[in-house]
Amino acid sequence: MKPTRTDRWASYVHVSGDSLHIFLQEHLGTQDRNKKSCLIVGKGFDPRMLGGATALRTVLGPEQLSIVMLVFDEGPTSPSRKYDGLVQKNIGMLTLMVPAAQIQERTISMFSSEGRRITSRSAGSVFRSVDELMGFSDIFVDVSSLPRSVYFPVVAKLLHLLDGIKDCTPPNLFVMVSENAQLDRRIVEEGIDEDADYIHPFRGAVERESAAGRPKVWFPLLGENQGVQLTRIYDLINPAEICPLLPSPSMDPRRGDNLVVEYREVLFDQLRVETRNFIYASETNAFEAYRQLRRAILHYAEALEPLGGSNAVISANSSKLLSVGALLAAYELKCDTVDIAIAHVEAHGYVLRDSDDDLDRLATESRLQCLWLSGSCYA
Amino acid sequence: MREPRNPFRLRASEAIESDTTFLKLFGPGMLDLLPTGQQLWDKPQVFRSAPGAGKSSLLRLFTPSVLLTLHSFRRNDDLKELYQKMAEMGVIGEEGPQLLGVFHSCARNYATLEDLEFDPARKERLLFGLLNARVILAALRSALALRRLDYPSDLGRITLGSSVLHAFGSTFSAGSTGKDMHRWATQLEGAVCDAIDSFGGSDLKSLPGSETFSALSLLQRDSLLIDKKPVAEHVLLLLDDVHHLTHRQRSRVLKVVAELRAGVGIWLAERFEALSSDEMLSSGTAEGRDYEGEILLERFWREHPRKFETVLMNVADRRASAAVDVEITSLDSCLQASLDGPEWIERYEVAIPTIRERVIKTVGGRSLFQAWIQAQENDGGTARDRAIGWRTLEILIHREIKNEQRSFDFPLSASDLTERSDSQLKAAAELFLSQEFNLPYYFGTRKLATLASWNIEQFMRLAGDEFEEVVSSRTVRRVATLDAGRQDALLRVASTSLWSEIPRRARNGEKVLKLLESIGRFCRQRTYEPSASYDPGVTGIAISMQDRESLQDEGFLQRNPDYSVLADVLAAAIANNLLEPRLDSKAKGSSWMVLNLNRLLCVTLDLPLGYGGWKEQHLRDLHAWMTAGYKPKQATLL
Repeated sequence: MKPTRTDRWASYVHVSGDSLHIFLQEHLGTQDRNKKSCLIVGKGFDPRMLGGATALRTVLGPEQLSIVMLVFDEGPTSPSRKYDGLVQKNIGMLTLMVPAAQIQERTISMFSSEGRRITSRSAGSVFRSVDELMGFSDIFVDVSSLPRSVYFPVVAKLLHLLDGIKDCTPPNLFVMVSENAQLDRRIVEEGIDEDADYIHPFRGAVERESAAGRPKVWFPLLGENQGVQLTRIYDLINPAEICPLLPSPSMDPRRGDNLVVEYREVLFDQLRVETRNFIYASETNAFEAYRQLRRAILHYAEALEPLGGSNAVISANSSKLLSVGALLAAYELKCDTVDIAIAHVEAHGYVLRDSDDDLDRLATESRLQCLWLSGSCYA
Repeated sequence: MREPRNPFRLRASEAIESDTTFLKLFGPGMLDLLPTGQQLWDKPQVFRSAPGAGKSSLLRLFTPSVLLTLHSFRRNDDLKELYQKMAEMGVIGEEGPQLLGVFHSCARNYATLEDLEFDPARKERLLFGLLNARVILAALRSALALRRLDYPSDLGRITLGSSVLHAFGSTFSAGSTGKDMHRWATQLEGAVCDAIDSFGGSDLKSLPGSETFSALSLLQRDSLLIDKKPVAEHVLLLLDDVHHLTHRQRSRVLKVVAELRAGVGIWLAERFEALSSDEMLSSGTAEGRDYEGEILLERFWREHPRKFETVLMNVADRRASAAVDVEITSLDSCLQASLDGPEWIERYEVAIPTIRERVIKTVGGRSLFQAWIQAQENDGGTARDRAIGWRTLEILIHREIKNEQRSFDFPLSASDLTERSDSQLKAAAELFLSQEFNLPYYFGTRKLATLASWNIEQFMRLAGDEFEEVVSSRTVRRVATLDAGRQDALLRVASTSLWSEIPRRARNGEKVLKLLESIGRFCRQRTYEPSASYDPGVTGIAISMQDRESLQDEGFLQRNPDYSVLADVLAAAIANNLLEPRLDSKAKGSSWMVLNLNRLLCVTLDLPLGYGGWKEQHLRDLHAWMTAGYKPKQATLL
């Protein structure tokens, strides 16, 4: 008899836009002024790094908010370095919202001394102990200006640490994302790594020789302009089965179709994906992506049990919102001892297409989303 | 998975799940890369190349399931040649495979071991422990597969030879079987991987490890016995993706392998990127410098271009035959190969008077060239021949006019014209014609093979684009031959695509792009000089071997950090096969490292595809090209 697996985020809290302000007001604005919240952001040139801080400051006093700013140095030759001015501008804005003394920087090493990628492992060590979190009632991770290789391990580690608290009330954990498709299109990756790799701590059993006989099933979350990344991740996994996840329904009703057209050659000619394998999840609902992925992965694990089980691999080359859904599915399955891996290929840096003149204006058109991942509402 | 509509699009060999399909698509000419004789199984071999050169395909050929399939289909017409070659190597015979190939990819989590907070000695023990466990697991599975036994239920039929018992000390005893080895290896691998993949807090200190690469003891004929008999005549460890190890791990493994005594078969495949910038700049053709057992795939093909072309055509025909929607047996038969057809005559007829008029105008009243002009007027060849003839004449006239040292204005004879119109010059004339009159230049299987730049994956991509059109054309019942113009257009699109991918693909992508664009503009400038001084064109640059040594000298680079970046950028371009290096080329009394552009990059620039033309450069100029871009000293001439 197999153990019954619980669907941790079957019920969830996900707020955005005007509702988010009301939610924050009710949740934080009415609480004891001595309670403190922590906001974790990435130091970057994307003006959306300020989205979470701005929203929180409307309901919290400056003394109630501490900021942990994750600094990831992409190296002196990174194309992002040309936007150092924009980074400083963002930091200037942040210090206007929160006193500099309450902003703590934590550095994430992107490369080892010999130039090897170590981002996700380094990010997983940013928080080492639950003691670092206990002083806060609420922890927010604004992933808007963080790469996946950073926020995946950070959020997973926070969930792990908070899940381990049994003898007192743990802080609430939220993830915030400023969604803006137009800005996403303007900020493009450059110098994509030659090889994909698995994100720490989601290597699963896919690399184990003792599990080499198990079929590998790949669940790529599709997003625009990711052809190179997809083929590199494919080369890493070499899956037996591919189940792409398309953002549908979506604001643009043709988005799913357009993605299929964009990746027609890769999906159908190179990788020979079966059309019946496609999975669909709403582009604005990370929890639906989580549910769909979780269900599909468990289904494959069960169906392939006679062959010794399966090795599931997720890759999230989609919007940040959907990728959070992928992270939740992977985290929960890992906790349930299901073999699950997350594959990813990193870039040397990011560049802006066109000029940066209208970045601030574009940023104001972003829609801030907030996902409540753990804490009192799930108790 | 679905049947392939366009088999050229199938990803690398690992993706072709069926061994039968893999074998049918495998070009037997790839085996020419291998040395002959006993040293295949006696000495370590290292295969190095850029991605997509065919290393993994070659290694996969020697794995048990592929060998068994080859044996089963040995009488099949598609596989006869391959079987014959493998039989000559002693890999296979009428009675079955004679080789136990144990494949293991290092693209695993070995590098992560370096990130654990241990001292180097402990990390090394973990590395060897994990390697031993995995090679043992791979060997056990391969041994059973080769004998068509069931894994893991038949592991009990495997016993261990004395070499294994000796290498593993007290871990195994004389009575140990494959089951014991399997249990030990699975537990060790599980313990290390669980620790690596934990959220932190695992007890890492108690992790098991090994002093050395003991699993190499499996590479003896009598190391693994099934029902007390050796599994195969030869045992070969196929270590793929060695570049995924860290520098320290890789050098440790290579050191252990180098110290192996004769009689142990191990092949290591890695990309150039495993090499440091210093080592990268050492790659290319260096006379007498390569140590025995190192096979640089691109270099080998560069030295044997005909063999490479044969392999490509063979692979292309095999892929074409595998298409399900159309019946095509040869790619060559689908591609128009010349411009002598009636559809192009008109275009040449338009070109001839234009060039003739220009020639007459250039000559003016000079009597010097009258015999040459008359000879060309009397030429009775095809329209294409005459057009090339006139363009050749124009180039020669420019050369003569440029030559200011002529002191006597004696008329040049028709025989002079014939003598000077060599094939190189005619090739330049043809290129100039194509560029000026928008005629196709990049077409036909010969040029398609050259455009691969010694990389099979690049060839597949280009051939796949052309085959796609052929399939589409046949589907709507049109002519199945792809005309030269369409081939040219498709290859130009592919070239543009390669250029645009550079910033995203290569480390230091922006700088690599800028440098390559500069080299490209420089080459184009030199190629299209009216006198075609470097006929048929310039497609590369060169730095002196002394400058190359400077780029490898740590002290020099510390004193000149700008050149350190240049060294990294050149290394990145070479590692990605965007520049093709050739060392020790002799010219002007010196030795040079020639860096030719990837042939596909030449297409957008309308450059020829030969390797003859290159021009030496100083490091300071290359640095300026990389940072500020190439600024021509004279205007573009065409």
